[in-house]
Amino acid sequence: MLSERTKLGLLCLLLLLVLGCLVFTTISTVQAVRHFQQEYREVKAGDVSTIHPWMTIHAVSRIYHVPENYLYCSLHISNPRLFRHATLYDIARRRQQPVDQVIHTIQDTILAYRKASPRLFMSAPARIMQPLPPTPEGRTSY
Amino acid sequence: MNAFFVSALQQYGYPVLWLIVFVAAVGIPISGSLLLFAAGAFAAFGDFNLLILFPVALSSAVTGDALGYFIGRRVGTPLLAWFERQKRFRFISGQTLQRGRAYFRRKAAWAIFITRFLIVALGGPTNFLAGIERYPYLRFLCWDVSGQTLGAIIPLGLGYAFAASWEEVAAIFGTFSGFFFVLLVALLLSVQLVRKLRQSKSVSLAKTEANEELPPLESKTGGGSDSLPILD
Repeated sequence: MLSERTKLGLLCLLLLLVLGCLVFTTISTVQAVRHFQQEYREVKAGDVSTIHPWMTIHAVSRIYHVPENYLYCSLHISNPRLFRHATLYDIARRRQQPVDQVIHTIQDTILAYRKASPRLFMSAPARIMQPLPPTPEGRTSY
Repeated sequence: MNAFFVSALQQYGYPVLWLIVFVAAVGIPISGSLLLFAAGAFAAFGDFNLLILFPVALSSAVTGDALGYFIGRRVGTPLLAWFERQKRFRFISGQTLQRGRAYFRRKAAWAIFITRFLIVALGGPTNFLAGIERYPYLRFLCWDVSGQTLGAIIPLGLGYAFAASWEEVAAIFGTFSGFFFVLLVALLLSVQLVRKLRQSKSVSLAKTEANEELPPLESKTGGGSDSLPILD
């Protein structure tokens, strides 16, 4: 059996190790909080870099105040009902494309929409029923 | 993996949520709470109803926990007895094992409660241990339902409140969970260390007192002027 002095030494060593882990987890938590704060600010500002693969077209439309049909048109989706619950990850999988490419298309579409109708973007999101600017394909959606 | 589960949640709705949370509660390493954050976020976008999500999450988690508990009770107890007979615990003495089991029995209620919502990763092993220790099932259920109520409300509520940033909130929750667990271990080790130090101090004090009771060795010190006087 181990002597008392050895047990004490092992306990000290274990405590030091755990304290090291405590410092590491504290830093991780602080970093996660900072990352969240940054992301939250960006989302509030409507930054398109915060689009994630988990988002559906409906969610993108709600967060970035862009009409759903406009986004569906940009992705050449003719039957939006089939994609109502599809995430961007799912859309990319069905189209056999990398998800980044789908996200990039959505980002471009949002930016084009904002450029074409800055007043619409600045005003409340409830105005989406107004006539919309042409989609990247040249069609007008409602 | 997470993107796949979130896509499945969107495609198939409540049954998938029930199934994944149930499997996670049994002890399979899948993040059930992450999916609850996602479900809360989707509820904010109008895809799910929070009033349905809550009973679905609670019922699946409690059923999964019960299955884990009964697996521990049916399989774990005889398995542990068999291992003890096989003398496979040579690196852990029987006395230490018994002490550990007694400690778990004393703190089981808190362990069950906390691992439902704060240290979620240890939920499965805790159910299994509670089953092995034959912790009374009604008491287990009581603490389980209390903990799982918080375990469902917290991620669903936070997901709903911070819908667009639910992934980041879930990351904070995960790292905080790890931080809390390590803090708990550090506190327990500190208490152990202080106890050991006090124990060794009292032992050395007792030794000193025993030495003081012995007659002074005058013949060896010689009683010279440079030697310290021994006080009675």
